[in-house]
This record gives sequence, structure tokens and C-alpha cells, in this order.
Amino acid sequence: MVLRAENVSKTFGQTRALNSVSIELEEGKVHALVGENGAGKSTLFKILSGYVVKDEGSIVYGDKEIDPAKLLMERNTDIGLVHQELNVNTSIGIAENIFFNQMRRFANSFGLIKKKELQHQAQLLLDDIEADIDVKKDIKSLDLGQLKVIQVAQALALNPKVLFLDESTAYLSVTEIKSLLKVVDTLKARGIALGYVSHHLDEIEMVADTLTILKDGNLVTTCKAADISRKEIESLMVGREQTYEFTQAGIDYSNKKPILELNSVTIPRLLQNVSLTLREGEILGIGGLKGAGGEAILNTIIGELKPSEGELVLYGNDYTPKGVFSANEVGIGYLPGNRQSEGLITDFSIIDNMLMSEIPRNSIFVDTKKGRSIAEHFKEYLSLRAGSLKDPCNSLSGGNMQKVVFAKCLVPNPKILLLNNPTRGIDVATRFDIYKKIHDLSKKEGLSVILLSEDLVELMGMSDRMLIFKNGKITKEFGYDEQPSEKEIIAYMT
Amino acid sequence: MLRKLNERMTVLKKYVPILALVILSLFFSLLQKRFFTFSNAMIVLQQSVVLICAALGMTFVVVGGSIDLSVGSILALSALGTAMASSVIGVFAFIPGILIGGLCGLINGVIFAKGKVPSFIATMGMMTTYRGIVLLFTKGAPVSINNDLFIDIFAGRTNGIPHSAFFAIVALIIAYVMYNKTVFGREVQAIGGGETVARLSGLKISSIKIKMFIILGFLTGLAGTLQAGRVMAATAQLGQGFELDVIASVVLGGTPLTGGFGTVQGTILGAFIITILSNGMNMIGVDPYMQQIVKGLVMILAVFITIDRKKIGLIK
Repeated sequence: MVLRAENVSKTFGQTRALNSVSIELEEGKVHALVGENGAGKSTLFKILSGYVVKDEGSIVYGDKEIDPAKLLMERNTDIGLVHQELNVNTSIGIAENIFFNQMRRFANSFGLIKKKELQHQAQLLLDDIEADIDVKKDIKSLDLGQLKVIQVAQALALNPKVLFLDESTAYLSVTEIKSLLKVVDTLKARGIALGYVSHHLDEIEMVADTLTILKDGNLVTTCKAADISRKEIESLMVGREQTYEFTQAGIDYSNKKPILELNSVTIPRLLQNVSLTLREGEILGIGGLKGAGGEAILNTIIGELKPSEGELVLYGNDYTPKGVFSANEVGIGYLPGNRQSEGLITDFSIIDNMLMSEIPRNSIFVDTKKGRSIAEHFKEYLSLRAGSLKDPCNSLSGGNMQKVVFAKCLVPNPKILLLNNPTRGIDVATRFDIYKKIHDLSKKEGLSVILLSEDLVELMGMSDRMLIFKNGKITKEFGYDEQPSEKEIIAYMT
Repeated sequence: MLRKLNERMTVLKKYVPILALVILSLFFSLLQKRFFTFSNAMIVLQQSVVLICAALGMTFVVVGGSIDLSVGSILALSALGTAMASSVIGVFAFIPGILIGGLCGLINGVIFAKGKVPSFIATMGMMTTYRGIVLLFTKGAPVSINNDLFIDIFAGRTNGIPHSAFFAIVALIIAYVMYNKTVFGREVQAIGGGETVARLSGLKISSIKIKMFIILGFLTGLAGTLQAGRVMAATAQLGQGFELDVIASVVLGGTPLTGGFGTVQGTILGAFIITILSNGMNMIGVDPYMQQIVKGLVMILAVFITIDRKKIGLIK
């Protein structure tokens, strides 16, 4: 045993991200964490490597209790983390990236970098993990998989005894994944204790020795990877108490008139020849991994992205949005994916945020009375738990903040609503409140909705029809009468 | 506990401008008897109106999250326009003065909002450009105003009260209403508070940004007209270093350079603080070079107190 977490807990705001979780990592073994988005996998890795501080529990390294955050501060590099996000700097060289925070080692007595030595060491390191990359190459010529290998090499350059790989294969193609897995095998052989997170279960089967399943911050089970079947893993990670009854109306909207159409829309590197139709009153779900194309679709509709080819048609007319303001003018509302940085000005009041999309006016003046009554209406309609409407938004919980963003989108009374992960990171009760409102608006008032969601349960439960994206293309459409399983959906995403 | 302390700090910050004004006045009154008199009050008032007009406009720009360093040059260019026109159209020379200011603001706004050049750089460049135009026209020599009616209306006094104060009050009312009561005022605050959020909420960012620079331009044009009346001429050096006083007034008035918040009334207090600081230091006989040192430090102190450090990465 190298590293052990004992009863580690962590709470973010009102969300219990980890609830008394214990795991062990062993020398030369891969311990994989599996679970859905928000299960607590990344949080656990970040706690163990010092990027997030735990609330409760203890962490034992070797035979003594440690504080990983303190070790990180002291530049102790025994425990490393390869972040989920790609953090390779493409404006400096490959070798410079690998030895990013230890360039001092390569300085001569004048303080200048000994480039040859630097490149030699970097090459040795890459050869060691059998990565086929020449450090002298232009970093911009590398593909995503190779960049991810550089990121791993950067972590290895610090000689870790324990290394966590968080979704390192998420955006990689099959061949890129293969080369990365080869690197993992090499590390294993070297006796490094590895933690591994991935959504691809076939990968887990290939590399994992031990496996821990997390669900909503709780540890479901830990077992030897060989002792559990894929089916069992799936049912354990998904199985949950279903407290919200999604009304599976099974309505067929194919006869309804199309409201918004995208015809062969292409945006270099983001979307390739995508066509889709949104029909009146339907909830069109868009699924896919991050970066697969869903966000690009929404950004195209609101005019934040301009298609290089293809066209948009709204109510049968050409539609060329110039920005959210022009989308708003034609009745399209947009709920952004990040409420803290895109949805709300958190130090502004609730009412100011709610009315931001459409400030009630009397010629050039603000109609304060009308504004107040609109805000009061939405406060009640969405059962917003807040003291005064004049309170700043940062006094609210995440869920209530999201309700304010939702209200802001509804104030201009849109005919089409674009939702980017509308319930990300909020508590269950608020989530259900929002589901119910979306459902009612669509089914009773004919609002057409595009729902982009990384939460499969939400996507399946809310959508009348689903489009699954992968690498900027639609890989599958699940029609009005289809009820695919999570597994089927995931198969088209990866 | 920490939160309470924070709240207390916020309340305290609200009263910093008025406290500073009172303390400063008391300080100078004790050192110099002539300071706390009606005649000196009127001098301070006359000295402050030019600053007030421009600072009111600057409030919009700073709350909107931007900055304009070219106000000193706009002031000089407007004053020049006024002075040159006064020989032809007399009293109505204030119209070209104000329009020139508005035009300069429009140019600044377009370069910033459409050309996406950070306002700090865009207006720093235009500061030199506008000043260059002034030098080109004047060849360095002052253009005097000989129209008596113009001078009487814009720089005269009735019962010791300077006429220019009337224009400052009109500017104040317009700015106050625009900032607090109009949709435009809310939009400016939203852009300064969070531009991404404002854009994704459907605000027309560029047009609002251009408008706020035009308003600053108009008000600086008015300031230029009043200044030309006061010195009875337009000189090439007019308004050099003025931008520092204007920005300091806004910041001393409690508007953080990070934008999003601020009050028009605070800016008025800030302008008085700056004016009294100069006036008082002159009266007690502080070396003019020393005065510069004090003013620069006061500006930094004001920013130090008001700035929102969470947003510090955004300062341009």
C-alpha cells in the first residue's frame, strides 16, 4: 500500500461531493474510479494530489498521515495529477513543456538555458515511456493524443511515486487512446501507483487492477477488476433512487412544423456538415462528450459562432444571428452553461440579473414598477428561495442562482429556449423544480427547447428526441418512439 | 465574523469620499483663515466645474469597465473649436465646442468597441493625436476669445456665484437621471459588472460602449467650452494632465476602476476633493512640484481602496 484515503468527505456549497470515501493505491497497480459525471471521481483525485482540500477524513502516504495540499505547496512531487483539461502550452517547445517547472535544472552559470541538455533529457523521458515523439518537432504539429502524452510526461518529469490520470483519454481517438494506454502499462511496470478515471469502460477493463465505483459522492464498492463484469459495473454506477418521474409522453412531433433548421452547417474543427430540425413544442436533446459539438450548435444559433458553410432557417426564413441580442429579438432565449461566469453577475442584485435580458422600459427610462412585478412573478413561479429581490446573487445557493438565470431567460417570453446543462451542479430538489417547469413550458405552452446535457438521465428523461454528437458530427438520432439505454447512447458518444 | 467585517468595510467605503472632503476642509481651514470663506468657496466652485463636467462623463466610462485617457486633449480641442468659432458666431460657439467633444468620443468609442483595441491603449493613442491636432492649428500660440457676451455668460458671476456652476448643475442632473433612471444606465453597469454575462443576456455591447464614450465626449466638450471662457483663450497646453484629475475624481468618488458600480454623486464629491486639495495646497503655500507628488499618491491611494481585487485580471 502506498497511498490510502480514509473516510474522506468534501462539500461544495450545498452539494456533498464526497461522502466518507476510502480507497487504497498500490505500487505498480492501476486503481480505476468509475462513476457518472458528478460522482466525485475528479474531486477525490484532486484531494489526494493536493489541489482541493478535504473537509473530513485522513490521507496516509507510506506509513504516515499527510496533507497533500501542503506537500504541493512545498513542491514535494511524490504525488502527481494529470489534469482533465489539456494544459500544454503550445507557444513554447515540447521539451520546455515537459520540464516546465524545473527549468532551473538546465541553467548554465550565466542563467541561460542549456537547450541541448534540456532536449536530450526530454527525449530520454519520452523514449522511456515508448512515446514516439521527437522533441525537436514543432509542438503545433502534434495531435491531441500526443499533446496528452506530453502532459503525462510533464507529470513524470517530477518523478512521482503516485500518479493520477483524470479522463486523460476523453477527447482522444482510438489510436491515440492505444498509445496512451501503452504509456500507462510502462508506468505500471516501473512500480508507480496509478489512479485512473475514464468514461470508457473497455479501457478500464484493459488497464485496471482494482476498481472503485462511486455514485453521487458515495462509494458503492471496491473490488478486483477481474472479479466484476462490465454489466455489473454499469448497473452499479447508474443504479439510483429515481425520485423524479419523467413523464414519458412519447408524443410524435414529426407532423409539427419545423421552427428552426440548421442545414449542413460546418465550422472548422467544431462542426462538420451538421443538419438538424427543431419542431414546435418539442424538447430536442443533444448528447455527447464535452467538445463533441453540442456547445458549438448552441453557439451557432445565438450567433457567437459563425458557420463557414451552411445556413440557418428560422420560421422558413433565412436567419443570420449577430449575437445573443439578435437571437433575443426573434424569440430565442439562451441559458449559458456556467452560471457563475456567464449566467449571472453575482455581485449584482437578483432583480437586476433577472431583468438583464429585457429591462422593462418606458421610452428611454426604466419602468421600475413593472420590473418589480415581473421579478416578483418569477420569484413565485420558480419558487425562488431568497430574502429580498435586492439581495446580491452571491447570497444565494447554487440552485437558487440557477433559478435566477432561468428566470432571466424566461422574462422576454421566448418561443425557443436553448439550455446548456441547465441543472449542472445543483441540488436534487431544485433540479426537479427546473425539470417540471421546462416540461410544462414545452408541453402546455408550446415552447420549443434544445437541451444540451452531459447528464444522461436528464437527457433521456427530458428529451422527446435525441441527437448524439461525436467529433463535431451527429452519430445517431433517437426518434420520438425510441427509448435507448444509457449504454446504447454512450456507445455513440465514444 | 469575516462577513460582518466585510459588510462594515463596505459601509465604511461608502462614507470615505464625504469623510475625506470634511477632513480635508477642516485641515485647510485650521492652517489658513482665508480658506473657509464665501469668496474662496466660489473660487473652488469655479475651479471645480470644468472637472465636474468631464468627471461626470468619465463615471459612465469607468463604471462600464473602460477608461479614457484622452479627455485632456479633447478638452483642449473643444476649447480651441470654441475659441475659433467665438469670433464668428459669438455666444453660440459653445455648440461647435460640445460637438467636437462628442465627435472625439465617437472616434474613441468606435476604435475601442468595434476595433477591439483596449480602451487604455486606444485613448492613449488618441490623446496624442487630438493634442497634435490642437498644436497643428494653433502652431503653439494661444487663440484668444474677444466676445464679451460669451465670456460673461460662460465665465461671469452674479452676486459672486459663477455662471459656469449653472452648466455644471445641468450636466449633473442629466448625468444623474441617465445613470440612475434610464435603461442605458443599467446597461452600462451590467457591462462593467460582467461583460460576458451582459453579452450573453442579449445586450448590444458595442453600441452601448460607443454611447458611453460619446457622452463623455459631449461633457468634456462642455468642460472645454467653460475652460476656454475662464481663461478667455484656447492654448495648446490646455488640459495637460487633466485626465489624471478626472479619473481621480471618479475613483475618489467610490467608483472602482474595475467597473460595475459607482455613483454620480460620489464623483461630484471626488471632484471637490481634488479641487480643494489643489486650492488648499496653493493657499497654504505648498510647492507646486510637491503638489504633483501629493496628487499622484492620492490617486493611487484611491484606487488602492476602491478596486475590486477579484476582478483584477480584467483591468485594462
